Amino acid sequence: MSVVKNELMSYLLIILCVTSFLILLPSRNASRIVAGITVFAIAAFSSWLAIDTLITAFSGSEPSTRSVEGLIPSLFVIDPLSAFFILIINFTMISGYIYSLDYLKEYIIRKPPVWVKIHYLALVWLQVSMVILPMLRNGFWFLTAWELMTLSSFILVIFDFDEKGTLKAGLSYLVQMHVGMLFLLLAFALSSAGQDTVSFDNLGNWFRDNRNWPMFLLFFIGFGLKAGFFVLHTWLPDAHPAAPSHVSGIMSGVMIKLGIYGILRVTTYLQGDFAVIGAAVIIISAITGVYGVMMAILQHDIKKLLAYHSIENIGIIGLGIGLGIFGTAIGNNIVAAAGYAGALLHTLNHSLFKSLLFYSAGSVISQVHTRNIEKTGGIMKFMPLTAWAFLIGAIAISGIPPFNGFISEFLIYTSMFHGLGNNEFYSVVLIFISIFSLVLIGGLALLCFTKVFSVVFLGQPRSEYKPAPVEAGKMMIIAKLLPVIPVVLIGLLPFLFVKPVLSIAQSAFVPATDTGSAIIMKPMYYIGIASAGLIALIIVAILLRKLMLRKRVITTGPTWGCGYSAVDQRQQYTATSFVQEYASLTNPVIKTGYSKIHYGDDEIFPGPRDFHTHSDDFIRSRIINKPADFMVRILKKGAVFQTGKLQHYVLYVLLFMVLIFILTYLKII
Amino acid sequence: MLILLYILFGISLVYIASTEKFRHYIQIYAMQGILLFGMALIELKDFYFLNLLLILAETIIFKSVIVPYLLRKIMQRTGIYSVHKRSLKGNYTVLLMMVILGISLLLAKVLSIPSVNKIYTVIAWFTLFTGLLLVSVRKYLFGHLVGFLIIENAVFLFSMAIGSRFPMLVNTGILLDIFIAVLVMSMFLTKIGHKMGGFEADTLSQLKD
Amino acid sequence: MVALILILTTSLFFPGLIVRVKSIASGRKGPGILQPIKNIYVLLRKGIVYSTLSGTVSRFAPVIVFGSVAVASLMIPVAGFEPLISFNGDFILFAYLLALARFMMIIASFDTGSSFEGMGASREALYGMLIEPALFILLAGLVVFTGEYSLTGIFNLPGGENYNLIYGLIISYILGNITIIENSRVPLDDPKTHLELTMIHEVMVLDTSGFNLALIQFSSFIKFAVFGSLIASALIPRDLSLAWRLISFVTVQMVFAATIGFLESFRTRFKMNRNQQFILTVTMISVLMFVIILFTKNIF
Repeated sequence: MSVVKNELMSYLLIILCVTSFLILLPSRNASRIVAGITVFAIAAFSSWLAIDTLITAFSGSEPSTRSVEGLIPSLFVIDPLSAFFILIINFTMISGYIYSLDYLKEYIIRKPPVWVKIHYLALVWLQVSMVILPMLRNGFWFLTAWELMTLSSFILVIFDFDEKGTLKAGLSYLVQMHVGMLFLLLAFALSSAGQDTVSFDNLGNWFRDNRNWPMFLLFFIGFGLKAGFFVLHTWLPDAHPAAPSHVSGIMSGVMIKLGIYGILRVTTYLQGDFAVIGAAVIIISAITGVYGVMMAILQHDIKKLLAYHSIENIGIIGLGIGLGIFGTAIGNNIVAAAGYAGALLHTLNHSLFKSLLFYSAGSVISQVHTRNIEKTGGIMKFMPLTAWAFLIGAIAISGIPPFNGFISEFLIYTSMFHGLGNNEFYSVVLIFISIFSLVLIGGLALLCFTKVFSVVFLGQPRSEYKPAPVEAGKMMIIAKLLPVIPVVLIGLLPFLFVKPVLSIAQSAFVPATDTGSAIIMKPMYYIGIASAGLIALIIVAILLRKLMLRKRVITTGPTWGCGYSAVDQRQQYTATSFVQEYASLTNPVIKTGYSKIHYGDDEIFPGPRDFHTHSDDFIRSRIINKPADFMVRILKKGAVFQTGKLQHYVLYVLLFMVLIFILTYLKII
Repeated sequence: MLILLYILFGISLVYIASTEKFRHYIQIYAMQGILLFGMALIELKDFYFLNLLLILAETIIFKSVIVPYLLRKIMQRTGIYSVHKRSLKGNYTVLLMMVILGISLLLAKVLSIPSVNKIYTVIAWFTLFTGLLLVSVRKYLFGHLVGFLIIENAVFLFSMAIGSRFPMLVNTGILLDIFIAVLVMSMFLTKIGHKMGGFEADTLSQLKD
Repeated sequence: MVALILILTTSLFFPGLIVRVKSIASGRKGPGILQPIKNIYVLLRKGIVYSTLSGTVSRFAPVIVFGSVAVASLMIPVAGFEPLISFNGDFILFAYLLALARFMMIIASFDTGSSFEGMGASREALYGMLIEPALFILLAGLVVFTGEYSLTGIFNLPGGENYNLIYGLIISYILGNITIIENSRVPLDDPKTHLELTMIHEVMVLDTSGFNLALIQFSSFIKFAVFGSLIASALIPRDLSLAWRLISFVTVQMVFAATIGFLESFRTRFKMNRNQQFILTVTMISVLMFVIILFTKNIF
């Protein structure tokens, strides 16, 4: 690839950024089209760069890192890890954009036109910043792009600012991202102290000369706030429901993965303290995963539920990363390679099925106008395609074969079980804990998604739908179809997809060995065979059934009601009842409150009552809200100085000047 | 064979923590006596014959025969047949037992000395903490008694962990503990219990005068 | 291939044996051993009645249940006979295929819009979630013990030594409890109860009939045979001759079926809230087994 074309690439990228402002100019529909062209163009260019890097890296002819020359020499550096993330980002951005074409139709009628244009502009800039981030090594530019990403996603989140709570969610998101920014700034500043450029590459020197884990901790907190690890997650369950569905899908699918990218990038420079860091990451990720899914089960708001599941899947990805680091610590290449490969593949898989789930949920919400799953039901009869898409996403996210979630969890399990072969006590105990937590996460995710899918799509409607729901628009269906295809393909043909991911993991983190790769890849062929066998057996069974029932009658009859004569749809099992035993089991940890119902003494025929359940995010209430309230109470006492009168402020200035004079006279300052 | 005894002992501890009937307490405690007898027989083969005989007699006769008999008598006299009140639900007891197992593993690993038999240390710590859990979880005093007896089992296991020397003093101490505990409990439950109006631990706090 | 044939044969006889033992234990003669299979044969040739409220999910879920359990049974070693599919980590695929079957059963039961089936589905989901760690911890313990990573490798305990039988017995105890929980037998759930409020599995198939019901019942039989084969593999040393292995396999399955039958006859089912405790106890025993294996391998 000649240097000329590289320059052209980067210039084109910059031109695109400038022309994106054109979105603000014409009418609403034209601005949508301009946005679409920009999105596709940026996606095309960056993906081309990424794929080119990957191909040259694995054909072995050229060095695996490519720098794109342009306005600023060696600013954009793409290695296979960055290429992987760029491809993930572009895929979900494209599907998100296609989805928004139909989804925003009803908003376009209601909202002022300039707001819609700003929304599309923010979408384009979100993509630009996300795509550029993996390419940047320079700390200053990286943080600029990071901030740009935060600001554009903030604008996207508060699109629906007339709704109650959206603005608050957006502001909490903004504040927490800036706290993370502070940590990143600190980390970059410390690691690049004394060097002439602020860059990731300085980390290599830093890690060689100092203790590794404090710097890793700083970066982990900074990136973890974006990703959504355990204590750092409190913005997620508010921001994702508040945002429109395509934004939720994009944010949950790819934006939080950039936090993971940051952690992975720092990990590539690690040179010591592997065991401690690996163990810490594993434990935090295990807690994150279990906590996320435990909270998700008790939610009634479908988007909040999906947001908590994002936290859970970040936990699973973190488990993979932790196992990778730990594998390097114990010197077992298979554990390390499988761990990293599982984390990377799960990043891809999660972006696929989470965006799919958010799109389906968004279609349903736009038809029934409520996010509460207790008021829905029986939607499969009205929106079959959406229901099928959601079902595929639900099966995939629970990690069940034959879809892609199983493949990435299988890789992480492979890493864990091979780590058991290391006969040292503490590592066996650590891996035992990680196996236990991953199994628990899988079981709980199954509980949650059977609940969601069944309550929303199956059975009968639990409240009246006015007007009756219709199937989602064409664009929304295409947007859902886009992720479905890889979800199914990765599950059925895992060997095709795991090999490149494994190579990427090995090129970035672990020295590659042929036997190691073979050991990890071999089960993939068998899984493919087993999935094919499953599909074949299902088809055979269906054909057999058709055969046997040629001459028989297939009828329908009412559902067995055990002799009750007044069965109606309100007596179906609700989501709250489905998880009631689980809620009582986890009651010491997550308090579930039920509304109390009283009957008067003379109420012989009780009138209608309202019943609510709600569960509390105990991290939010104890670690964030309580100290925040405490500080506000203390600071309120100081607010007495803000009287609003000009004379008082002049008096303050005078007092301050007197203070300075006195201190200077006493030679204190 | 020892593996089987260890696992059965662990299972017995789990069941004793989660059971609901007093009858089961007594049966499981008797079974624990037999298991300890087996462990002692296999592990301490080359001891002084008299010492060995005493230990074996203590476990099999005292723990499996005499104490269950006394406990059954107490049960019949006071008429308590099942646990009605527990301050902790059964699920959480089992979950706590898992945590306890992990803690005892870590404790034994951290405090390990080469001359000490490690597996007995783990089982002993596990038994000790289970006994403490039993004492704190049950509301009826009978449960406290059984918890105390299990702690005595833990002491027995600790002395087996040391292995090389099994002083008579430790043995006698254990026997005395068990004897006094059963004596005090039976006296309390049969003589005083009627007047107190209940057999719960809370009623003991009314004993100040 | 032999393994598959053995599993299929066992699944034909196993449930009949259990019913027969239960009948004899209560003083009756009982139906023939092949009666459940005859029932399935009758069901296969009947028409189907779907619920008016159900959709496509009820049409394809039973097929997927059968398919996943059948593929899972292709990976089970039987007393030294190799299964058709065996690779490193196949026990993960095995466990998650059973999870797929559970997923499909749960959504099929919600499809009918009946509250009884929802009740059964809720219990099934919770108990399934609680039992998975037990199975995985057992498998992890065996991985540490044998150093192998596939089902065939794990259940190939060294023969000829004293430890074989003891470990086999403990593994059988844990696997037996897991069978009871997965197939909802006493003490978790009484398969003969007629009260919908107390059922777990039976209530989920209330509105399934004909061919679909036959598929689901046969899947449950296969699950019995699968766990029975795992127990047999754990108990039977591999270096016996072919004939002896077959004979001991049949003996182990008959003893296992008889044990389940006796336990069902002489034990009452637990109160509903004790079920969780029971499952957690099984998990605890798995953890104990893991700890003991740590000691045996001198990892501690």
